[in-house]
Amino acid sequence: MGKERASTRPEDLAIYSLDPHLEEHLPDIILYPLSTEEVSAIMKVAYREAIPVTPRGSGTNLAGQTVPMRGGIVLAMTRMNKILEIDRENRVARVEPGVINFDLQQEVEKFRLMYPPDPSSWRTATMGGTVGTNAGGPKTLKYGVTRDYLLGLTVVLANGDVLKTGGRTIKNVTGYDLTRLICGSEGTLGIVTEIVVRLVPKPVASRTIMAHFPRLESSSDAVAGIIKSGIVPTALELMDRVVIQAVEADSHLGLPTNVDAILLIEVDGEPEGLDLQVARIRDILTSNQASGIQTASSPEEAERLWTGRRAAFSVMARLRPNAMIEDATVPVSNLTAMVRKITEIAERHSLKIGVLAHAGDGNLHPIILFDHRDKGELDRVEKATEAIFREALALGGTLSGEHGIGMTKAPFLDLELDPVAMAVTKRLKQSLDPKGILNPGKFV
Amino acid sequence: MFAPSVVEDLHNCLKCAACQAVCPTYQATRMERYAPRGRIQMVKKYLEGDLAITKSLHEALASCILCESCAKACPSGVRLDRVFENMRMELHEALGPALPKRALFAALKNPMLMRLGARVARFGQRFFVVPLNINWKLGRIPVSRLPTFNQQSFRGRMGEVVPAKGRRSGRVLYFTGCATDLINEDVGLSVVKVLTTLGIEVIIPQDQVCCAVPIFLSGARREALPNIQKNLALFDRSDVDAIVVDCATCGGGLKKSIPHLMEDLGLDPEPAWRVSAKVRDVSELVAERLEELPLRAGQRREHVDVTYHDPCHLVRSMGISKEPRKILASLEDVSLIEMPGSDQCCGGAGAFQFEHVEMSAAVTSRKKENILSTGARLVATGCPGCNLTLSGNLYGEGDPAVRHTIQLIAERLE
Repeated sequence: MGKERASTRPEDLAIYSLDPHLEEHLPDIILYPLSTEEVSAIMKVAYREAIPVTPRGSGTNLAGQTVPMRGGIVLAMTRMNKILEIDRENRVARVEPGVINFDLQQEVEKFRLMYPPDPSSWRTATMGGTVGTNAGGPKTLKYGVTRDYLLGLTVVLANGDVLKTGGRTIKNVTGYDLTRLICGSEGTLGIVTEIVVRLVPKPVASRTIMAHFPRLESSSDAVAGIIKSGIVPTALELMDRVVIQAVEADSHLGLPTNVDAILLIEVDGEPEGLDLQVARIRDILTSNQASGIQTASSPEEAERLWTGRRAAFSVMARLRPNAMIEDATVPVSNLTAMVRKITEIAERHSLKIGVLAHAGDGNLHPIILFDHRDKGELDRVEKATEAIFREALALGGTLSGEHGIGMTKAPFLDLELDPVAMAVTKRLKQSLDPKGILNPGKFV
Repeated sequence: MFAPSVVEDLHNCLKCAACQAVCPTYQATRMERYAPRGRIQMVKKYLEGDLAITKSLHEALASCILCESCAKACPSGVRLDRVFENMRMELHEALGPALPKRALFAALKNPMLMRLGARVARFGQRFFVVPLNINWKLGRIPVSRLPTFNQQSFRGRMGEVVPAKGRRSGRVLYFTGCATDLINEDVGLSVVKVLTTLGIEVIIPQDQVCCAVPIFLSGARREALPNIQKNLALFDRSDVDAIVVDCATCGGGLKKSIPHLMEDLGLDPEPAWRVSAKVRDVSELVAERLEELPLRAGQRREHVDVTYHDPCHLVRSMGISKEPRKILASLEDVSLIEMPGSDQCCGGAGAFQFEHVEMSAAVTSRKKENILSTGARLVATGCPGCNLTLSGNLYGEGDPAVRHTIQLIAERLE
């Protein structure tokens, strides 16, 4: 590969030892492959010598997936960043794993197409990383997550064999669905080196509505009402009291600080249909005690309504040195119960926790603030996150809606997967990676 | 020596990598040693004793453009630019500057030496480069595309005071910077023409020296102090309305990095903050009094498409992006066509383009593509550094010319 695409320089090892997770671990070497063949050659050597390999895109993942816990090789896929093909007729794109999600969006937009999965890190995250974590995003409610857009993958297996899954047609039931098996496997089953995705037409118009709710319960009732009405919004975002107060104190947007929740609702489609949807949503909001309902009809007004939500994480993060963002997810009907539980947990552990939620799909983002240098506080954070996991499961939800298992949730995996599911998972891992060299220390 | 507040800031890094999306050197290389998160974590690990200062560490940190895009993008509000400025001092004190930089610092600290250098360069350009058709390159810039030096220093030519035209409505100090003083006198003449037309008396302190930004951004913070203190003594005056700059880099230095440097070194920052409060880019002053300018000459000119490039130090260090656009939009014969990524670095960044040629080339080529995609005949900008890089790389058939925004105003004055 040449010296310039391999590094053992101490400062490189130091920075590839980390991702947003607190724990770090040094690798022994960083390699920057440029092709499937190179990845295959690397894996053959790694397999023969039983060297751990941790694949990595931009390292924006939130569950410690790219920390090389057993050392060995970090495979930095960032330089394989070519968009290989945009097939407008079949609405298919073929990309290398290092392509940035945002860059693909920009390219397909030129043809009035859209690739819907857009995690908050979309400006930085790679396509390979979003496949590895099966990333979602704010548009998930209407459009689904990464796995819903994958048609085929090229995957280098632990022993260096090159596996091709799926194809480029929307309908394809030939063989096991290996594409979906690899999607979300966090680099523990193989290294993705090429991705075929389907694209959808870009909606022509959208509308944004904002509403304040003095009581949390009514916001959930409104969300349930909207979903029951048959309307499928693109986004249905909730900010809780802690977040609203922090945003208002920082940015003075004129948000009410005495309400339990603010909902932001976005619908997209043909302009004629949208006015009707907006009217129905407004009715539902009003009948659920919402106040201060505002509708944006221009992109500028919409941007103004979204300002607070977009700034929310940043505003929270600036309050303390560390901000951990979790992603417990519950059935929509239990959203209020879960927000209340999180508030309780925060009080019990003397922590500041604000909640953002993709309310439409029950995906909560508790933002836990702390200073990692305060050992006592760090200990309380660990206890609080575990309590959040357990509450989410008790309410019929899941450990992770979109961030993944990685290191942070691996110890809790068996709380959710029953013994049979755990055994099947382990057998799958064993059969594809018998020497356990692919991203060891993660997932299973 | 790291300022304690800067060390504390390192603990605010969430390692989220939002900064990677906007970093020109990461985009050019796709290696995290050239990304802000990578670099800031290197600094953290150096301070924690896990990394030693080596040539390799120096290379990773010195290849940062200091364009401040990362600091603007950071959700945690980490002032990465300030961290890197402190770290460069550590590197400088441990390793010392390379020989060419030592010569540059010596010149920047001594106006006599600099003027002499300018004369020699001008002589060389007139009698060797042009007649002998020499096609050497400095970095990627052909020697023939380098600007010619002023025949006489601009400050000397103008004298200490240029009176207002008509009734006096204000008085400003003009910090000319080295570029206007020695190279771009057209820019200086335009500044003076526009301001005096607005009824502003322009005072040009004759003893001002280089703002020292090129010196202290290289890490030589202590060596920069004589220049800084000399300028502060000349410009910390209460009898003027503003301190005008036409160079984004001098402006950003005076506005922000010089007071920060004083704070970091434990020196009294107050004079620097007083000066900072008065520093204004020339486009700010002009934009707010645009309707008072007799710009009728524009009506008789042929229509021209212009695109605007935001210099890093103007848009981020000084927070100025609307004012130059307001000016351009007001010119009758001009259509402003926005380029994609107008606030992305041009790849020049002073010595960066000569020290990190490949990385700089990648950054510049993207900028060039964005400029050419507009089809504009002119690029307006507000920084002599960007001007040098852009005109030095836009020399193809039909490529647009590069001008300072103020020049476009001045040539349309009645």
